[in-house]
Amino acid sequence: MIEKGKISALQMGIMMYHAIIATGILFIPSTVYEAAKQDIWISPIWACPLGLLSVYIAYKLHKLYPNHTIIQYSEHILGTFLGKVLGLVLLLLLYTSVSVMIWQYGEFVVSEFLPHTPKFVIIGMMVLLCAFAVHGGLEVIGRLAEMVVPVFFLLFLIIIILLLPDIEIKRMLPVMENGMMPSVKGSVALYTWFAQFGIIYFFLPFLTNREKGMKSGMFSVLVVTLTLMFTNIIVILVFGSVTENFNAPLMSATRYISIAEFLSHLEALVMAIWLAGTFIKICVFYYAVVLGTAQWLNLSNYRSLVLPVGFLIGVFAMQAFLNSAEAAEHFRLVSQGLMDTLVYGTMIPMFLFFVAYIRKLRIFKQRGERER
Amino acid sequence: MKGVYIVSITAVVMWMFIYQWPKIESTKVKEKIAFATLTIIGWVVSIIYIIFPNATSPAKIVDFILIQLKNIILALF
Repeated sequence: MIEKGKISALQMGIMMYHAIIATGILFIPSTVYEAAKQDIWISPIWACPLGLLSVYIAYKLHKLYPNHTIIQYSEHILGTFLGKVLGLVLLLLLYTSVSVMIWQYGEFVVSEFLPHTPKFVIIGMMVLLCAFAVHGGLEVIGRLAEMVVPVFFLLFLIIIILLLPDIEIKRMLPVMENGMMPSVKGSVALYTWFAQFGIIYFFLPFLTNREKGMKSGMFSVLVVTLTLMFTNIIVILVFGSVTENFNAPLMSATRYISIAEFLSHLEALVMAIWLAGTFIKICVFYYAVVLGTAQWLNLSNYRSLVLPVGFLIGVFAMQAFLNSAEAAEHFRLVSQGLMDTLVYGTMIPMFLFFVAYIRKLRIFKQRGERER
Repeated sequence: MKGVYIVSITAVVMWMFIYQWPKIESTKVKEKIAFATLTIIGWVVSIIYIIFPNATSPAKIVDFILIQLKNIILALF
């Protein structure tokens, strides 16, 4: 097998938690607010089933082909040629997706913290750092993710507690003013985050306790839903109807904290959380891309591809969008339910699952006829 | 300025070759081909982006294709 390291199911769940929440915690509130208004905290509940579905399908496919990732079993299911084509489509989508993530990271750091640093330095440093982690293998990423969790929760809790003096309950009232529909419409934007759970099809074969894979995946989905709900509630309680004016409301809310006039400027805490999470997120997707490319080319080792793939996604990330206006157009399309993550996270695995299921039924039928 | 960028990108690619090439075992031809191809693709793409800074990106191409697919699927119903 191409990857010799093993991770536990819990480590995979934690990795996926970071991979989803890292960008979500900052950008979700204002993206969802456009449609859901003061009900943004209900939207994650409607989007959660999609995450559960992605995990379920990835796990079912994993049950059919226990030692293979999606690139390998797509060849088993569809035949060599079609399988390779599907694998290539999947890889190209992953390449673009990870380049957009790195672009987001670079743009955010440049606009909020380091306005005078050239973007290629920030992106290049991040890609290089992730390249070291990916070169270390899956175990390294799993342990890094585990290491970040306590810090993440502690800082998140501190931020929420410090924001409590500024909240006002009436800002989220009336709950469900126009019925359920606004929050359901808002949840469409969240599908892009929850569909990314499908990426676990790259990690399931490398678990030590495989039977727990689905359980920890689902648990991860639920914790993500809860975290998003808490974030959205606190953002709406602090900002109310001005939420949509901020690019990253949690960041701005934290900037607003000022206790006894000396405990202020805590946005560095959010940045710490966010950098650690984004690092894990980029590592997870970068690893998936490298492993997928190596398996697509039938290589025996993926480590030699780490640097060239990193270079390529770095270049794509530099060029992903020329300015924030183009990015805003992209994210507007995403919030209308047009997204690449949904294609590679849910639709392609679902398609593969149906084909595999039908083929299995036919094989059973043929066997039954022969026995008769 | 473009010349500086091109030279530095080439230096990065050269560094990648110098660092990684000896680490790939000499018997593994396929790995070497894959490494060289990916590196050269990256180098060519970055040079294109330096010379034509307004060139389109994969993210925009994917968006465009998905819009077209969505329109086709919506037209069916």
